[in-house]
Amino acid sequence: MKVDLKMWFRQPKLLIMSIAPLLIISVFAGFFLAKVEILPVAIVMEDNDPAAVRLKDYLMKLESGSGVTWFHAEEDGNAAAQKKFENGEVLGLITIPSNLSGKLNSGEAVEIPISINNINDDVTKNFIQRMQYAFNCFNEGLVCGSTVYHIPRVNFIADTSPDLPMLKYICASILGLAMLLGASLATVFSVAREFEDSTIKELVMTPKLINILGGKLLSAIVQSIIAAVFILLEEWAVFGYLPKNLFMQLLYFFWGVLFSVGLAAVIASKMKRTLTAGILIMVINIGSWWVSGGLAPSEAWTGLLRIIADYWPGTYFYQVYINASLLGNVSGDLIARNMIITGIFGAAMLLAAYAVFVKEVREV
Amino acid sequence: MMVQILAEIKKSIKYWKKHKMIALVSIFPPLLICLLFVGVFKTTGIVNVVVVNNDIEQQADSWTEKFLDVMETRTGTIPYFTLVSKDEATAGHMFDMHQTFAILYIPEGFGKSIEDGNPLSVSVKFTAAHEDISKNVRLGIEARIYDFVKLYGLDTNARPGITIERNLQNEALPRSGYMMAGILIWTMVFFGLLIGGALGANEKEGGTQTYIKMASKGELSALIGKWAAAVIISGVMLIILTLCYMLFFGVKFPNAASVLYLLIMFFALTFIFSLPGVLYGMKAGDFRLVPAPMIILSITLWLVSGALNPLEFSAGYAFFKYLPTSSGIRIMSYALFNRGEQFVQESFTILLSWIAAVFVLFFIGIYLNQSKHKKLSLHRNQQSIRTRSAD
Repeated sequence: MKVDLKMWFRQPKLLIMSIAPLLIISVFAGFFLAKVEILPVAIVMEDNDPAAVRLKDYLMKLESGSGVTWFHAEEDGNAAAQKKFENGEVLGLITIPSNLSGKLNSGEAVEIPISINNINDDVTKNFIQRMQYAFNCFNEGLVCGSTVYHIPRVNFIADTSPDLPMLKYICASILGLAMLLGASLATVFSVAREFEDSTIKELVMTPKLINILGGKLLSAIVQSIIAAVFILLEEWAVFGYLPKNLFMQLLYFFWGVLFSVGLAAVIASKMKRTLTAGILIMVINIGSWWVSGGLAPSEAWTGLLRIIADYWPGTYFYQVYINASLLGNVSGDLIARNMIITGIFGAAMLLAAYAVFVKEVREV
Repeated sequence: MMVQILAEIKKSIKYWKKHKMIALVSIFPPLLICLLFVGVFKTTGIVNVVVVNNDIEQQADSWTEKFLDVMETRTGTIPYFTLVSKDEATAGHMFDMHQTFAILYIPEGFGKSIEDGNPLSVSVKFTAAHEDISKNVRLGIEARIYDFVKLYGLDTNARPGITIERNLQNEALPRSGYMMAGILIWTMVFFGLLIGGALGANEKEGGTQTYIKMASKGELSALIGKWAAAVIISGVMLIILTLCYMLFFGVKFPNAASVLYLLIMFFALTFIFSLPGVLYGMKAGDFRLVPAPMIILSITLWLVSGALNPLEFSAGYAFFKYLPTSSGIRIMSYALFNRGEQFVQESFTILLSWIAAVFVLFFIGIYLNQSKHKKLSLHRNQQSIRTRSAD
């Protein structure tokens, strides 16, 4: 254990390989992925009809569940708005026709023309849905003459309020990844290095190989604690994120380590090269993080990806870890089920790791 | 010198063929990026929602059934909802166990209340831990309510109200499809940097650096040779990756001109980026130090250049539009999807300026290096003359 730790601290390359991928994902996902787009639009009012003013106000003031304004809306004259739209300065052009109140009072369904620079379908979807929401707000309780018209409304009940920014979700999931990837990489470096440097021949002399593997596991725990704490501090300093119930993080950390190190040891013993085994472990861990709900909860998916997520044990670690870190707690049934699934996988992998390690050492 | 350069190119290509693991390492990140970034935008289109229907007096043609039918329609904007009917206890358990993302509660008498013109509110319980997904659920349900009101109220003139008359400026284009233009550009930049770095590092790694230094103009020939080899190898790798993108991620080249644009972008960008790659590799002298900084650099450039959404709607537009990667993405978006024609000319000007800048910097570098060598050899000569005269 001491030898491995000394080696890790003395070799900045190993430190960089452990921390750099996590840092890259954290910074990039945090800065660039975790944003809800505010759509720039131009609103043209053909007159100052009270209904038109009310609609304009809805469009300008609508907010997301986390308090982000849906549109960056500007009121413009027709020519100026058209020019902005053609130059690509605004994504949408909304023209509120004149005499809206009059038309509504006469019982008409009035079409509001919107032109959309549909640069891609995601922008179009966001634009249209936000408009539909605004129109629902407008249509609800619409008074025309002496009649009030209602539409079905939704009472949204969220498990936390306001909706948590995506940034927090991504920070939590990356911290989970830091635990798993940090432990896996540390195991890979310490096991594969013995084969690479041929020091494994000296280890063969040890009466109990399980002690060697145990020492390497302890060293991996120390290294991954350092990596995880580093990422936690980075997320706190850069994004202001701190998980709820910090004490529980230690428990989740040990859970993650026991779950992930077995597979890493199997790969390291088989491949015997730090670079290739390290890259394979990175690919597996980052791919698994994504499949298991690293960027969005897996229960919000359907199709093949959902099936893969359901069968991949990593999902059950991330599911508890992310939700508990963000919400403070999760259901006891969920923890019990997920601990059993990941525990069985982790134990099986540790047994496999010992068997493969012993076999490979003896062959050397 | 030409012979030396050609020999260096051949040597570099042989090195690449021999080190297949490095080639494999360079293919992984682009595919992983596609999986991570593109895949995520392909997977949130359909959402499972559990329905707890408490409107027990419903009939097949009741308003509640009509409402649920509209909720399940697969037209209009995503997300689409797959509704699964459950009792309240089962639905609650599924929600707690994260088997479903949301529960839709239909209140008793809901259909009748619509009939009477004063609809009761439905409730939706959902996980709000992820703003983007909760936004999709909130707005997705609002969109279905809009569809319901339009279908049965506004289109039938049963009530007044406002509806959307939409005019789309362009043909439909999925966001994941849009992102592929940026990924093609990123791949070129990444290969230029990574392959350049690998070739640059191999002399120190193999211990052959001294031989290069000993040969007349050896360092310069090696640099130019590695630079050219990096462009050639990147070309081969790009062909493989482009085929993968076409096969797995749906990239399509609409016409011959778009392939030509791809070639132009490839030559421009790998030319610009393989030089710093080679120089860094020569300095680092160890391939293990190459991938991480090259991935960081290339992904940073890619993300700030309009990777996820067009640059003009991104932060820092005024500054980032001058990056070669931004120009590349804009030109490829035009070539593949006919988007942003107004930016093409400006983008080509920016790219040409970068190529010229690389040439200028390269020649300044050579000049400074040669002056340094001249000064050094002059100094050595003077020293040896002094030593001789002292003797």
